Amino acid sequence: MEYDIEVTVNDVRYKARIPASFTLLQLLRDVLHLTGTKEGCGIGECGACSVVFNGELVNACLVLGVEANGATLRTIEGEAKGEQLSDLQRSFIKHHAAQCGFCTPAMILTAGDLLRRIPTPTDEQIIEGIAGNLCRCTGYEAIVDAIREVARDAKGGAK
Amino acid sequence: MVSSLARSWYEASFLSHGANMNFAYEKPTTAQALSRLLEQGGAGASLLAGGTDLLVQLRGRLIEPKLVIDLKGVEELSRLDHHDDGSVTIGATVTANRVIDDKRLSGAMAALPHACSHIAAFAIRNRATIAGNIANASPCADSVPPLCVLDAEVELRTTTATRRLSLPAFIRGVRATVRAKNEYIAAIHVPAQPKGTRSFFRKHQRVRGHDLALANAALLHDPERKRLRVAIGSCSPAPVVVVLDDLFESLDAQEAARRCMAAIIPISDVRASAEYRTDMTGVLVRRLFDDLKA
Repeated sequence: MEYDIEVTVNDVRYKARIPASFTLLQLLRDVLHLTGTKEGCGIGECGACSVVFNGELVNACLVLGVEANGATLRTIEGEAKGEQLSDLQRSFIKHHAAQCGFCTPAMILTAGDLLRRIPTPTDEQIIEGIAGNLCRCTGYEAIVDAIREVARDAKGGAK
Repeated sequence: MVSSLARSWYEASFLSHGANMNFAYEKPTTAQALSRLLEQGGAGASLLAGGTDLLVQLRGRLIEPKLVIDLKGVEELSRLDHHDDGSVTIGATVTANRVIDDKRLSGAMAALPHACSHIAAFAIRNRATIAGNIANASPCADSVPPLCVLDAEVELRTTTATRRLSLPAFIRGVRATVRAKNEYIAAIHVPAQPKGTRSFFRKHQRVRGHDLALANAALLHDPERKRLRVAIGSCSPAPVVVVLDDLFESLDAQEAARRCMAAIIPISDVRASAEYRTDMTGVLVRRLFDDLKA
C-alpha cells in the first residue's frame, strides 16, 4: 500500500507518495535525494543514518517513512548555513576527524544533539554520546577532540 | 560487474524490494480503534511502537505482515504515570529514554532506569519502548530482570477484555510470549514498593556501550517484608527469578551466587559459552550484593 506523506526537512516542505515498507532512510535518500544520510548496516548497529526527528536523534533505518508524516527533520544537508560551515564541521576538519567520511554526517548530527543536551560534556559523556556511531577509520580520538573543542569554545564564548 | 553487484546489494538492502513486502499501515487514535484493527488484522497484523526491533525483523523477512498498526497515535498509551500509592504505570509507547529521564524512578525502582540506560545506544533509546523490549521477548532484554524483581505486571487488552500477567508468566521462551493475536500490551504496571526497598542492575557485555548482554541481573532488597530476590537474563529462554528471602539476614553473596548459577540454563552462542555465562552470572550476583552493601 502507498501513502501520501508530508515532511519538513531542513526547513523545506516535501510531499511524497511512498509504500508503507519504505524506511525513513529510504525516503530521505531515494525519494528526496538527500544522500548525505548514509546507510551502513540498516539494522541500528552502526548509527550512520542518524538524523534529528522532531528534535530527537534517531536511526533513520529503524523508522518507517510513513511514521515521519508531519515530522520535522534535520539532516547533514541542513548543518551548514549556505557556504558557512557549522562550528562542528570546522572542528571536524581542523582535527582530521573524518577519514573515509562515511560516518561523518551522522557523527556531526549526533555531536550536535549531544551538545544541545549537555553543553559542556566530560570526555566520558562525549564517548557515551557517540557510542551508537561506529567509525572504522579514526579510532575516535580525533572525533572526541573535535567535539570537545566546540564545547569548550562555546563555554568560553558564553557571557 | 562490480557496480551492478553493488547496486543489486543496495536495492536488496531496503525493505520494500522483496516479494510480499507490501503491507498496509494504520495509526489509530483511540484504544477502541486499535483493538478493532487488531481483531480484523488477525495473524497478519504486527504492532509497531518504537520499531527498533520490528524493522529489523521486517528487513530480515522474519515477519511478513499484511498490516502494521502504529500504537503512537493512541494518546493514553504514551503516559508514564506515578500514582498516589507509589505505583507506576508505563504506557506501551513510553521510550527507554523517558524512563531514564524520569527522576522519580529512583530508590526502590532505580534498577529500571539503570537497566534502560544499557539498552542499545542513545538514538535507539529515543524510539525503543519498554513494552516493546518485553513483547520482543529476547532473553537478553535489559528491562526484564528489574521488572521481574519489582513484580511488574503486563496489561494485555482486546476489544472486550483486559488481563494482567507477571513477566515470568508473560514470557514463555525465546521470542515467545502468551500474547494472543488479538491482544496488545497497553501498559506495564509496577507496584508500589515498601519504604526502604532498593533495587540494583548489573550487565556483563563484551564492549562498553552499544552491545547485548552476555548476562544481566537485577536485585531487590525489601527490608519491610524481608524480601530478597534476584532475576537473571540472557542465561535461559525466559527470565529466571531466584527467591533468596532466607538469605535476607546473612546477605551471603557466595551462597546467592551459587543458587543463581544453578538456576539458569545458559546456551553457548556467538557471544559467549554457557560455562562463561554461568561464571559471569556468579560474578554479577556477587557485585549486586556489593552494590547493596555499599
